[in-house]
Amino acid sequence: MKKFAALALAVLLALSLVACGGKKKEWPTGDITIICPFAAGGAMDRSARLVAEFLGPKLGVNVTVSNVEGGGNWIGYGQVLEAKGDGYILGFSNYPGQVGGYLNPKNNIPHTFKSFTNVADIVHDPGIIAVLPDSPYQTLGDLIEAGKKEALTISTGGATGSDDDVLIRLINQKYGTQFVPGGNKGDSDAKTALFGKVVVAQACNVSNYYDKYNTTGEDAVRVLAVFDNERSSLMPEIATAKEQGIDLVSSSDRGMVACKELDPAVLEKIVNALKEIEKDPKFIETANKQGMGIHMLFGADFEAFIQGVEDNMKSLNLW
Amino acid sequence: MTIWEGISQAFAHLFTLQAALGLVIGVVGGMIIGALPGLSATMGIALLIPITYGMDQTAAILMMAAIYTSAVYGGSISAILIHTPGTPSSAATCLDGYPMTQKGEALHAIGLSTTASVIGGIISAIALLLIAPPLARLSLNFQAPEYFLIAFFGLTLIGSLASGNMLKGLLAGAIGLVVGLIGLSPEVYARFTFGNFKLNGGIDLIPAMIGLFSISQVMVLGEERGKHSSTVKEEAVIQGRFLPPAKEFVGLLPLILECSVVGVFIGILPGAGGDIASWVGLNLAKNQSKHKELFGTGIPEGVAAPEAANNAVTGGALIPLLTLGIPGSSTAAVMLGGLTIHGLNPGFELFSKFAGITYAVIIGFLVANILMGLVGWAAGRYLTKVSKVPIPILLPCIAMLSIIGAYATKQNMFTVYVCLIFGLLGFLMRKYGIPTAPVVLALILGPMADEQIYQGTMQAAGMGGITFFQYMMSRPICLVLLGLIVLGLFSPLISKLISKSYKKKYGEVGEAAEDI
Repeated sequence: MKKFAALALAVLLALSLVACGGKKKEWPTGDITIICPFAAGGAMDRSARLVAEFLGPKLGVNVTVSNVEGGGNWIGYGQVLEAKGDGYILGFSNYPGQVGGYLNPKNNIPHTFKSFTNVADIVHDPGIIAVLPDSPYQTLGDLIEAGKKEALTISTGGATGSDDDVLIRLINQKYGTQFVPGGNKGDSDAKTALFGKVVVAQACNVSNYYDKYNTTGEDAVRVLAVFDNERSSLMPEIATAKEQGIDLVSSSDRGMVACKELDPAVLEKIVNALKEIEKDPKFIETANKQGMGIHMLFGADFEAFIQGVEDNMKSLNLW
Repeated sequence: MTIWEGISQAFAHLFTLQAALGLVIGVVGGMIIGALPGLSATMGIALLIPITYGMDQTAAILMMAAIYTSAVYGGSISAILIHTPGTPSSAATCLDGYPMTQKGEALHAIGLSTTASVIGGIISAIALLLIAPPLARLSLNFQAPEYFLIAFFGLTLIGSLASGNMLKGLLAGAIGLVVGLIGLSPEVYARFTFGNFKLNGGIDLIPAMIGLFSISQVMVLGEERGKHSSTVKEEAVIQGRFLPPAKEFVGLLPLILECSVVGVFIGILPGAGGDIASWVGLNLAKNQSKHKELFGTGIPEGVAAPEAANNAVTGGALIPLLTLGIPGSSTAAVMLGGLTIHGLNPGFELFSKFAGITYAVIIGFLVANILMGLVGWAAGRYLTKVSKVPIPILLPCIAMLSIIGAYATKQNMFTVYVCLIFGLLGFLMRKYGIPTAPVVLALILGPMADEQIYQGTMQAAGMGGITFFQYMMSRPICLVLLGLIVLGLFSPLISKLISKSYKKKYGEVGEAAEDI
């Protein structure tokens, strides 16, 4: 009896092996991890988790987000760069954050955006400049004229090299203004400074005020311009800076990266899955509810965008 | 938003299975942690933060708050029954608590401690509910100069954390300030990173605290193992009535209320925690007593006063934490790490955008104090059993939890090394009698002052080129804060006098640990 049981078990095992072999062995056969080099709960983490949530069903496997913080995000980026090219470890990256990280010579980072396979730009959050409703500055032009006469502080949701900071410096460089970037620790500090009237304006992004710009409550603001090539669908009434004759764009972007050795066949599959997600109205709706504008760029377009970010930052000689 | 709107929003967050479980586990677990000599509220919360990652925000924060108050209470039970304070906050309770046990009034003493702790805790919860929302609203007027001064105020109080030796306290504060400088400056300039980009993000607070508080405690207890064969002294006979008689209770009530108010105030002060409050409470009781000579012989006032004061600290310490991001005690400092991990940044946002969660935590904290009384009534007398856990079993468990906790904060080995290095640092500091709490306070407040002075300088630059100092002097709230700082500079002298006179009279108590 025991022998029979053993035999039956062996047959069963053999069959199960055959069953395994019968399955197609195409990528992905296992779970995928997206390394997010930022803390859980932040904007980067929320974007990564949103993408993971929709990417999983498209690929038929679990896609999980692992927060690997530290080292100014380069511990997480480092893990992405060291991953195997089999596509089971991907990463989430932000711009201009990543670029500022490696451009600063004191950080000693021997990589550039070209060290990665740049899969896709996903979340595109255009820069804006906001003032309080009772501000004397009605247009971006008013503010720039005032900035030519005297030094004025504009609060920014990040220190030197953040997208808000870079935007202010680009305005100074191009239009000869004397704006002082506020160097605030985060968007909430920058907002506190704006509402406390210790700064004249706040440089931030569409996501900060997409639900407040056309309200009248005590936390309402007036948005002077959106710094993008076209108007944002999240604040369609606000004119772009270009429409107002100020030829500058700025944004905070979040995208997917992988190691340089990523298998091209795998890359193609990820790109196709992301393209499908972009067409999913439920994905767009969920993202927009959190103030995330979706504007995907792939391959060469994505790299050209990062190159633009890098050129802008290099022109400012920040470090 | 009014307080009532906040409270009505709170119930949806509070009546969930997770929140209820968090509350119960927090109260029971906190009591056990508190009763274990060597484990304090601070350590308990630091070790539990990684476990809360997967919980929802209300449940996680509520559990931490419940552990805090319950551990402070639980410490008194070991103090009363085995003459060993379970937490440093209960050192003052030993003086009259243990003599009561010796007189065969152990249960009476525990009942007194429970009653006083519950009242102290409830008053602090009410203070939290009434003071925090308007303070959060006021904080909307705070700009960089105000935050800079608040951080600076906290730093000046470091002397009071080391009531034994101010110089050693300042030394500890200096260590914290230097460690806080590591990483990118507000201008994105790498400081003290020695070219290692892993240090760019600075030293992470939670692994550093786990190291300073838990790992060092493991090392200290491990080293002492040869000296004390067991932490448990002779087991007391536990009998008598639990709840104080009505007449006695009415007589003690004014004292309990007064100590509670004082405790809330001490809680609000950055850095000053339950240990200082309990000595101040005992001092109050003694000054008002007609028979001062009976203190130390086992009288009810000597238990009720410090226990009301140290539990009143808990809610008080949460007031500056939730509104300004300044921890009112070292336990609150650990909770600050827990809050930010759950995406809750202290300030007005907690009372507007996240009002439902915040009010749920405050109401839950009130409930936790009541539940603590009930659990203490039912099971308090059995809590000494937990102090029988042999140290050879306890220590490896704490060490293991610490390492896992440190790893979980950032999921890389670097934070584990940070934790171990700080554990060694904490051990050496304790060996030389240097307090570890000021390191943490300076580690939080130093970078805050640094950031705010930078932002303030940038703001001043856009105001017709005035200096940061001129900008500061132009703001009325700053002038008030400057006045407070001057006052605060004298507070270490006062608390030093109080604790010295008591230590002289009653001698060192039990393990007389520092506030961890």
